[in-house]
Amino acid sequence: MDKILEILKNLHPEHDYSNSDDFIKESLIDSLDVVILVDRLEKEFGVFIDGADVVPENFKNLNTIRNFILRLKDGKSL
Amino acid sequence: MAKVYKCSNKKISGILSVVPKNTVRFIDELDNYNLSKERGLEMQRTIGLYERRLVQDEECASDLCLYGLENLINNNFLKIEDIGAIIFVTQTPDHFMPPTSSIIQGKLNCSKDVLCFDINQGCAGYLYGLFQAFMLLDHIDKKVLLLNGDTLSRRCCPYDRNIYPLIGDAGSITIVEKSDDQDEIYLNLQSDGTRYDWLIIPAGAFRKPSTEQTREIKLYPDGNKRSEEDFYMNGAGVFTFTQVDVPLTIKELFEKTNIRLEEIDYFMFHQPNRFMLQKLAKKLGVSEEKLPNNIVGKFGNSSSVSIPVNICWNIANILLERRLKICMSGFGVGLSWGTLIMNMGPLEFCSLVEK
Repeated sequence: MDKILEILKNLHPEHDYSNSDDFIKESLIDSLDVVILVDRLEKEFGVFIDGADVVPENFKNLNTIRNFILRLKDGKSL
Repeated sequence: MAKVYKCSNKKISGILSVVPKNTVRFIDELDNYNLSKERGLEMQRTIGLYERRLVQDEECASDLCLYGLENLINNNFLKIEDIGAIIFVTQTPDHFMPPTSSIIQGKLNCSKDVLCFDINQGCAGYLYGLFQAFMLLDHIDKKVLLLNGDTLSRRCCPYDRNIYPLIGDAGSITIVEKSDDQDEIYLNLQSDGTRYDWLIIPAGAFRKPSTEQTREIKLYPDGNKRSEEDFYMNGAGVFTFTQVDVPLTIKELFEKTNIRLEEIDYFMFHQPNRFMLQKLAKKLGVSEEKLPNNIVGKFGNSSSVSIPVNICWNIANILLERRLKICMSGFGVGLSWGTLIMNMGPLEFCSLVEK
């Protein structure tokens, strides 16, 4: 399974993240989930996420999170 | 660019913080938030949620401040006749009216010349209160009592994990007075009322009076529960605000005053949660030793009282001994935020007591 999807499923197994376009609008994650998500992404992918990048545009759905992490890793595969 | 306000010949001569004895542990509340023990422990580690202090029954913020005032009077750190004005910064007053500062003035049996001001401010309220105190001292020769107090736990739904596990209750007394010291105090303050609803108690006042409907606890799609009379926070928005607007204003103050970050002994910031403060410290390039982040995990986020609690818990012993260059920053409801740089100490008193 995609590592990002695995992290999200681990947060809330009851939600279907792969079929959502906007986790925040659809209330699939709340603000404390975002904090845990940022912490887990940093550990899993060895990146530092600047607080200013913790914005809805980067955490909207699986694709935006994937692209954001790719940018932080300078395009190296996840 | 935020305007820089300069004050001189003013000093903080002492700070006393008061926290309730009642200690609540996050790990004992997991059922309220529908969290497994595993997830609770992860949140505890990441966000720094351990324990916090909450008032019980109908105890008010003014009760905590009055307890501290009695302590100062009994220990000869304060004489009633030396008080020129009382500023009470709170979002949880005793009543809609009268001002709680008036109630405190009456309970202290102060002279009728003692001016009373209530300021409705939250996490930036320590800086708003200090600025008001500095301005009053241009007209008053006596001491200004800056009281900060909040009991917001009484306005949070215990089933809302976005807010309830973060909140703590506390009160503080800061004595501000004139000084021969000509060291400049620098301060900037900002407000953005277009984001007023990011931290709000939507109902229960006059815009949306209390009804059976506004008191009803509802389940929201993210799994949290609260009524319209409970504290609501747009957590994602507030996080971005603290990482974008706040550091910008802090850096501006340093640039405009030609003070270098390295000159600061301690960054005593408002305490929203450990994770946010760690991110903010990294963004500023400041070590965690110089920017403490341990208050939410020990006492909870007590709004405008979190800066004095932070000072009294982390650096009291140093401030009693010597002079330090301190940077304070407060940010929250309004939205309101600001930063202050001043030399402080040696203080006459600086401690934290339990009520």
